Amino acid sequence: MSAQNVIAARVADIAQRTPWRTRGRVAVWIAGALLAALIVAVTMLLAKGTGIWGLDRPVMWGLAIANYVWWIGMGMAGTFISAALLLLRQDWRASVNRFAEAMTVFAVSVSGLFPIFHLGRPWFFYWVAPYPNAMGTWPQWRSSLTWDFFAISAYLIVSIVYWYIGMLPDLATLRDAATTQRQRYFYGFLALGWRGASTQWRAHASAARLLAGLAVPLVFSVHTMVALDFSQGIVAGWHSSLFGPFFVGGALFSGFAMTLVLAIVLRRAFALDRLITDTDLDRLAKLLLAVGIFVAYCYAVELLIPFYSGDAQEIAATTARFDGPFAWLYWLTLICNVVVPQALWSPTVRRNRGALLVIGTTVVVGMWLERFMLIVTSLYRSYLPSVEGRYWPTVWDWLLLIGSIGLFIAMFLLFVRLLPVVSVYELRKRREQTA
Amino acid sequence: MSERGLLIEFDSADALQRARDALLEDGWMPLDAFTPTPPAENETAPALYPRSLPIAALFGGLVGGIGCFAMECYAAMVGYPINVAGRPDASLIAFVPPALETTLLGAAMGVVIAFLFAARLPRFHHPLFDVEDFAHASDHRYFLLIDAHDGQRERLHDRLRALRAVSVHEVRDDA
Repeated sequence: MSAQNVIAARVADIAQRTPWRTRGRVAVWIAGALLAALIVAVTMLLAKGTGIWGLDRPVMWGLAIANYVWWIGMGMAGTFISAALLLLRQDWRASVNRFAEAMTVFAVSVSGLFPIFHLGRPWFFYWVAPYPNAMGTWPQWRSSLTWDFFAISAYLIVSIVYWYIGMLPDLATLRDAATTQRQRYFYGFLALGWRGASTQWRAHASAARLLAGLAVPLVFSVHTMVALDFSQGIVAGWHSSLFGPFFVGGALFSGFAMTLVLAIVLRRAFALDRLITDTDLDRLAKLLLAVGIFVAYCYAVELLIPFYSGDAQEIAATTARFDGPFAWLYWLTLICNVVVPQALWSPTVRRNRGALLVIGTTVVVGMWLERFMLIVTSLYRSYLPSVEGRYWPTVWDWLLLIGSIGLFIAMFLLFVRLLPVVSVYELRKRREQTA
Repeated sequence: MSERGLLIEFDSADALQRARDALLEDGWMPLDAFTPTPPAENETAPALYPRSLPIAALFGGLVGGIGCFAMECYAAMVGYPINVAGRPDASLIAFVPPALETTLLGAAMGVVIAFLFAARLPRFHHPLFDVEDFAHASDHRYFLLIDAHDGQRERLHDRLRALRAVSVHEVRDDA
């Protein structure tokens, strides 16, 4: 066996041969339990309506929308890392791009569920799509919610295609490494008959470049659309031109953190030390730090704008974040997203996988807190003093959140179990070039 | 392109490259190479080739963008005009964001379709798959298909040994 096909053998082992022992089974059970929570939460929601959530005037967007923005934010990073690094000719993308793209596809799929659940009558969600219908109606094109529907759908489709086309040569490797007839059919069907012909490789490289070039602006536009859902209205705390870049930065921040977490977990679970190296993790950590600084800058500008505008309501909304009833959320967000990531300046920390795991998780949690904070602290009070209320999620809100985490874990476990977790041909190419 | 010939197996990209050049010089016709990693000439080749891919991207993008914008105009001005706080039916600027997304989506779909055509996929069966060793083409072996038939195998024998071929297989059309 030549030195090169060690990578292929390892990846084929993970997808096709290694039976899952205790840890893998525990992961499946956890995912299953959380999925069960999701099924219960959704069934209850469909039976009783959104009244089971903690929503009440004036806070009509609660946990569901926070979850939506959080998930789609994490979904931005995978395609972005993969596409931007491809365009910049960074070979080290090979060790992270595949599972980061998978993370994107799953996170975006999960995120799309929340606006649908939030509709009240989720079974009519397709009304937001333009299609010839007997009612003679069309979507409201001036609404950012309609824009958002287009953005998410386009992004999900392009992300899936980009992921799949990139995976074709590896699916052929798995097809040829298959040991059972069932595997041969499964991977043979997915590989579409890839032969590794030079003409195919040529077309494949061009397609990857073009799709990457299309995916990068798409990433930016999609999360800007999400930001417009907020800033298109006049709610104090949301109505700001900062929101586009602020949300894109936040999305990449949480997504890089999630990529880092998944990289460390995968590396540990499948002994991929030689494929996902310490240097790769170090680079990811630097990316995380860089985006973290941008997010911190956005927090600073977010403070500046209300005072610069002189708008009394905007100022009141901002100062209420410091010392209002939800102040703890604001300060906790700052600690998680601004203070903790500063540890990444230290090379020792960037080389310490345990520390990276903790920092990555803190940022993921911090970004969830940020979305929750932005929604609740802007809505619980308004221009009229009489419109003040409190918001606290109910058990059904929380069940939906942990259920969505279960759905993500379940999809990710299936991906790890069935598909190539790292890009075999790119890692091999990278190794050839360094050799 | 012919799908029959002699399929020569090598164990490294360099051996494949040398053999292809040498056989071409001898007057053989190399038809295609099959490798587990992108061939080295991809690095120096034009970034966007075959040309059908970027053209399909442009075409798909135009169809997606103009199509969506036209649909929005029709829907908001003719099909279902609604007065929202006196805003004009033709709120053209508000129609841009969905059209932007469908432009990118259409361009990506164009790329995918052009890629499938250029790579001649999907094609689940191919005469090459009848060669048992060809399964290694996605793993660690490098193959060169040349325009020759089994009768010419003898003539190639010594040459291929010098070129460090691992083995030679015949590929037949499955007519």
